[in-house]
Amino acid sequence: MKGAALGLAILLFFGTLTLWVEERLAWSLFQLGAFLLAGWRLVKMRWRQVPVPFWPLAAACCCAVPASLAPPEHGAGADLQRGS
Amino acid sequence: MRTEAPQPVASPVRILIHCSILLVLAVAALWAGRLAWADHLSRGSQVADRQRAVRVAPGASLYERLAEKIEETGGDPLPALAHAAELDPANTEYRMRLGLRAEMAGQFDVAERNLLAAARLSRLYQPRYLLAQYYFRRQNADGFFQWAHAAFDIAYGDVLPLLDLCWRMRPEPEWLRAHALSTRPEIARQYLVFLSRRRQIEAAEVLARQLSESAVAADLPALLEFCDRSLAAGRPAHPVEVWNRLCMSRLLPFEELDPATGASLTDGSFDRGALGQGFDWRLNDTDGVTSRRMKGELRVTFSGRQAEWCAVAWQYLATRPGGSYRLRSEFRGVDIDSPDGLCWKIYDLAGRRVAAETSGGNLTFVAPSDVLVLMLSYQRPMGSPRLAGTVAVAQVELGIAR
Repeated sequence: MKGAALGLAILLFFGTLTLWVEERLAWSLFQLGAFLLAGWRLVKMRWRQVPVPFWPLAAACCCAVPASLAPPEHGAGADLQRGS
Repeated sequence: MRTEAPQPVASPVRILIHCSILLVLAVAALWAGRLAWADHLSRGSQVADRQRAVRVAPGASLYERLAEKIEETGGDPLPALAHAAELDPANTEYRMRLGLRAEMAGQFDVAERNLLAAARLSRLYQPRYLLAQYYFRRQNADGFFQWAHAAFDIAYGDVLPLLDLCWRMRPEPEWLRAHALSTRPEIARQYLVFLSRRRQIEAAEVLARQLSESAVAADLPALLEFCDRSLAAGRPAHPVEVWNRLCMSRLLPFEELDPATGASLTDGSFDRGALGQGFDWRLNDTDGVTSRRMKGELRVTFSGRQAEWCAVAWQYLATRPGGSYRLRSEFRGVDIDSPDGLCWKIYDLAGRRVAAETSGGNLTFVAPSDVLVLMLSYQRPMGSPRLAGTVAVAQVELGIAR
């Protein structure tokens, strides 16, 4: 657990420090880091359980709901960007 | 006695879920890398690199960068812009650029369609303004005025370019006001400035009178510019009316004017704020001469190196033609004995001298027209050196001569 926490902290520092970078490369590296960390954590659990506790997973799902609504809204021509 | 907690068994379902998650993560990582690579290519200096970028990841912004590069190299950016607009149909920026480029390429139907789409998608000024411009270039008056009106409805800031287009399409001030413009006071103010600058004084007079009836502080610049231009054109009646309304509503700190009774001078005691517009004093700071209002006086400092003749301060006078007027004032040397050379003069708008002071700050004249210029000037007396020092001018009074 300590290793994963350290990795996440490094990743967040990296993300903060590279906020000003215009190129997509910095953001992609951050994304790549997040995916690798998640995969590593998953493999480390050796198929025993889902490595995320229930409540954080539920919160993440709640956050994902509005994002998942964007494509149908966009398709219907009713997204929030229309006023800009 | 301690007992070990039972370890969960790795069931096939769990393994399947974990493998699926790993697969999704791997695809996402691959996609992130692909986007980074495409972005890197699209920032290249070669068109070929940017073309490779849109092949790697066909995104709207990448097509836009490709269009920019093609445009730079003198090619046709229309297909790339069309792809960008297609991939991001709600982006008005792409639509506007595509519309403008299509018009330049002579594809008017494509241009109109995209500019209309941009104006429908956006509630901002720019797409409507561009569409009005498009119809102006096509000399489609109906389309132009429809979209010019829509632009005026939401316009903020400077609309003088759009007013100029309206004028060039149909130079009829009343018609424009009734049919093309919005009723918003922001637009009315700018229209007043526009008409004043275009020397459409009659139309400006009507609008200025209406604005001044319910004037607020934001109306002052436009109304004062109207007063300046109308006075310069020799039409003082409406500026007097507007000026008096502004004074009555306390937007201006001066007494009202009444040319019929000789109340034609503004701020003869120099104790109000310096406005420098309308009927107020304009101070001419020239080389060697500086003026400032101070404790109910106008203090003029001469360096001794000023020109032999120079204007120090002036203001417009609204007068009664044929009326006889007397001007009185006090000149006092602050650090000199006698302020020789400082005198009052009256000019008409053509610059002809109507009267000039002959003795110590007093002047009598008959007004030949309804607007004159009262000027405080310096002229080096024959046989004297240039004035050096400070002179105080106070208690300037103008009235009907008995």
